[in-house]
Amino acid sequence: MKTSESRITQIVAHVFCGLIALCAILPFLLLIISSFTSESWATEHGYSFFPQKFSLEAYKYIAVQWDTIGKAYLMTLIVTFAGTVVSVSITALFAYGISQNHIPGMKVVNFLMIFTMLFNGGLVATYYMYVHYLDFKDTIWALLIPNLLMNAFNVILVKNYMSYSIPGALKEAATIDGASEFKIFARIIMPLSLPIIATIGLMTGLAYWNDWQNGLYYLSGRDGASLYTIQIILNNINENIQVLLQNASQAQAIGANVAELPSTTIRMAIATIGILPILVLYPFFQRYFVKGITLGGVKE
Amino acid sequence: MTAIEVKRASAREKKKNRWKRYFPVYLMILPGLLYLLINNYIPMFGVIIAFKKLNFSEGIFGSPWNGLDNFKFLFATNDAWVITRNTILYNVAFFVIGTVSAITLAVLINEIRSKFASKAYQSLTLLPFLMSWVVVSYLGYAFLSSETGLINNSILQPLGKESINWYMDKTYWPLILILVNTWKGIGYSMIIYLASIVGINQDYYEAATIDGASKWKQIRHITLPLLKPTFITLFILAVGQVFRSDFGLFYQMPQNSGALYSVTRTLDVYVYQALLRNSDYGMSSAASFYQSIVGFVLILAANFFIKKYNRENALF
Amino acid sequence: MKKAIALVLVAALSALTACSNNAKDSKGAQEGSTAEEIPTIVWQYPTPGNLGSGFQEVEDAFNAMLEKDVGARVKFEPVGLSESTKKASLAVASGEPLDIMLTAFTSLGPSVDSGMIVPLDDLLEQQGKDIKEQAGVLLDGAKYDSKTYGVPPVYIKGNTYGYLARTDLLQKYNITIDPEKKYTMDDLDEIFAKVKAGEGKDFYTTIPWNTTQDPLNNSYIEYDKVTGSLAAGVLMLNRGFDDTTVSNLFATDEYATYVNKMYDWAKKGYISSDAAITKQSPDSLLATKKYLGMFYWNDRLSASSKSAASGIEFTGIPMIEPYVSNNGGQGIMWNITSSSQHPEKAMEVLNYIYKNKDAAWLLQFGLEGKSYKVLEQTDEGTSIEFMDPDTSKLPYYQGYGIYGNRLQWPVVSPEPINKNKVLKEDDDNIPQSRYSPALGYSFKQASVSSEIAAVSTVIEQYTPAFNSGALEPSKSLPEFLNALKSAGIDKIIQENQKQLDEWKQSNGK
Repeated sequence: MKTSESRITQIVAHVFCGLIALCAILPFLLLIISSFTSESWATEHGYSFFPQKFSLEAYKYIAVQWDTIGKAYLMTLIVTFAGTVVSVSITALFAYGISQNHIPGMKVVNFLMIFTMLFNGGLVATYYMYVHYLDFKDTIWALLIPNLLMNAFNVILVKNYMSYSIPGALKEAATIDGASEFKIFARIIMPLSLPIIATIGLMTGLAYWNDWQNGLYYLSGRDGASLYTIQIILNNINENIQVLLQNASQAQAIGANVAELPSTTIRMAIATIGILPILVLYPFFQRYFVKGITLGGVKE
Repeated sequence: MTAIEVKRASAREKKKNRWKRYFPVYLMILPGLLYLLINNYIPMFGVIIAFKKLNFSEGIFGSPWNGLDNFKFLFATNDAWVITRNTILYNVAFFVIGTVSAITLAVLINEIRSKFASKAYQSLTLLPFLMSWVVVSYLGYAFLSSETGLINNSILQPLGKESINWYMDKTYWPLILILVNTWKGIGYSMIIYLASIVGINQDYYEAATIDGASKWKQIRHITLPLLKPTFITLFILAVGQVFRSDFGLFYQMPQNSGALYSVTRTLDVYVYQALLRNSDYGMSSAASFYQSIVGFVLILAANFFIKKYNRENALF
Repeated sequence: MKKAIALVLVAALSALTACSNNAKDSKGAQEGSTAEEIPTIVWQYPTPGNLGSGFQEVEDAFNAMLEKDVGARVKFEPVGLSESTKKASLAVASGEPLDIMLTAFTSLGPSVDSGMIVPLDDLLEQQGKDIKEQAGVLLDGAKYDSKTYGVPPVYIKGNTYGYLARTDLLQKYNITIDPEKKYTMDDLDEIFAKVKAGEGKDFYTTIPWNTTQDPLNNSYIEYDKVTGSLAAGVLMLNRGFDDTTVSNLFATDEYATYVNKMYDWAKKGYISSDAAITKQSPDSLLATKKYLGMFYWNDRLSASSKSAASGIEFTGIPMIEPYVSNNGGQGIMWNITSSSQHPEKAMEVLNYIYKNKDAAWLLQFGLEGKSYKVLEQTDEGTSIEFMDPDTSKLPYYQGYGIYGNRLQWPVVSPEPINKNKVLKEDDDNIPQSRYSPALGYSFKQASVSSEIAAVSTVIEQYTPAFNSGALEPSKSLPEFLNALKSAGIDKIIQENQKQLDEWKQSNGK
């Protein structure tokens, strides 16, 4: 009885998850295949899972910039890693603080934080702050700090987890034992919060990995070019194609030639290049989901 | 020393102790607080741009006031109602369908015993989230193009059905947009719920298993109720974003096809189209302020009701 | 292990910040020593993002020329073509140095209204003599509120539009083109019918133009978009070049005829059913050989240069007699920002690339022998060839043609060496009677900006579908006109007319 029920559960779960995974992977396959399809064939017949003409022209176009791209990958790794570590630390500390809403002032701080999800000063004011007052232009801080370092959504997730999923008794016991707040945070709260920390770590990592806007605004093309991350370069190529296509009817006016670019397959290649490394790094985060399960079983 | 004095002294001592106890916590939130100040609150003065006729040579504060003029274009169109309706209805549909599917997926992935399969499903379902909207719109076109599209050529034609000119026929688009949005976001929301599920104390399940509760019962009576706090939080936050929309989904995915505007145009798309050829900081700030203020009022209301019903789960 | 990672990270971070700080310091020192006598002009440089290895060399060479002849240096600030205005506004707002910015395909109005750029009339008078002389009437396209705000690259001023058709197909169906005749839509209809009948299904007679709102990509009739946008009405020049009535193009009989024709063409299968939304570039569509051709710019040489670029032989079919219009100004122009400390020097630098064609060549094509080599030099012009046909491998390549007087540039082989001469000749031959009466006029849109925003969204909604024949006119055209009306197009046109009349009076026209 019991085994058959659990077998049914397994079958149902595999079928459902498998279907959704299939929906996710088919377009991704199409993306990769498209990036190897000849542009002219694709224009004529549309993208296909079985193109009759393969081509490396898109990758060749990108490969011209390969030395820049290699450096940019390294920069992306550094920024993503440093950004995620710092961001997760700040977020966890902040969330732990405001989760203790019996402490005077924490409710206000909590509200102030949620308020930032709704209102923002806009690009001009933010830019003024970071460039005029803090002189972040063309420094690595520009890639790490503006808009990405701490986000209210992640704080709320962590705070909720700390309030609902960690037994309050654990903390009380530690307090009575005379453990300091920092010790409680480091020895009890953090280990128990690993699943959510891994989650926001993943989200923050993705945000840093995919960000190009900070680069666009805070790095100039010259002094900042040595700090370009992969997404900044890919976005530049994308934007350039976009503008030329949009103004194809006026291309005459600026003497630009649109025909030179295998425009759509390049974008597919760009996306492939941007996504593949994430797939390689992703399992790193998954470890912690499993850990959470065993630690969640600690007896109160 | 009288008894009263002793009491007072101990109260003072207690208070002092309390502050000593709190101090490290204040220290802990200090970095985050500083960041909010620098990244959000100091630049917050920028919202006044929405009420100014911005002139860079006079600076933001020196620019002349403009009353509500910057807001006018939002209501200058007959479609204002259609746009508002689209924005809200899509957000409602996205939230309901997105949440149901994400929770289902998270619960089922959690049930899967094979570690490898569980990890594989997690990674694969996140794939769509990693693609930009431009790329998704190309892939969409590969499926939906009326001449070369996979659906018309590989599915409808072999079945002897007539081709559909997808980008000209608005009847399908509400469904397409909801499907695509769910497809793209499911992996991401699933992770949030999965993190909550793996954080559930295993003792509950052990006890339930001993009592002979079926898997389905365990899910219904343990997992789902324990996901409620996460769900409520996400709900309140979604309410605050109800006037905002994912620009890429509504602009790129339908290839900006005019025939579909009545079902694809949301507030963000309208603002983009209105200011495409005449960028204007004042007007774009006004649009964003409008979205913020509506979101703010709604989030206050939602939080107020949640608070009445369940004090613990309120957001603030 | 973890500690090791953290250490490496910290080391890497500090090294990086040290690097960028050093770069900043040395740069500052450099500026400091020369700043007293020689000002540095910061100048936006449009680029797709990848500066070639020879970029610094070109800038140094240009600075050597400038120091000697003008007494200034420049520092190029690379910027994406679509972001130039936004980045300039951020720079001006935060007080970063920026002297010369680029306006590309957007209207001047917002930049002027927000105080980002300064009027150039006095500067042009003092420091910009060569620009004035060479640009002439083109400067009228850089005006706003009767003042000049921009300096465009000099090129021909006339509009010449038509249709480029594949020569092999024309020959196959025995169609001869009379280069003197101006073909109408109905003439083309006959040609299209013949070719379509022979080529059959899956063949289209025109590539779609969903990136432009203009009927047939401007090849249909002459009109002057006096404000640059169809939202504020046009002067119907096809009815007469002295008529200064601002009309709503979409409400004209001409437009009704046009949309009916497009609907007809789409029904006959001349236009692809994906036309309204396809994002493929026109050239890649032509390359599929599924198209007869496209409505396009059509001067005497465009068919041959298109042929050379695409490897497909084209014949130009003229449709409109060349004419000169305002069209809301130039697509591309340089402006001087209000935060510039040295506007006079900035203007002198701009003038220099018109005055000294070597300077313009340098910025446009790079260094001779490194990026290009000269093939032939005659009285009629210079013919050059890039050192590598794959321009992305060149040490320096500027893909946008924006520096100085394009008619004084060398031509890139295989284009005919006398190209510029021919173009200029044809351009100078356009009679004054085919000049728009609104040259030099510009529209101040501040009072109707919310209406313009709303009307723009309506135009955006309907024109791509009309242009590709996807909408049935009898039902959709009235719907379109109603939507325009309720978004306030009449108010805009009225305002435009009022300002135009005032401008006419004050300019004695």
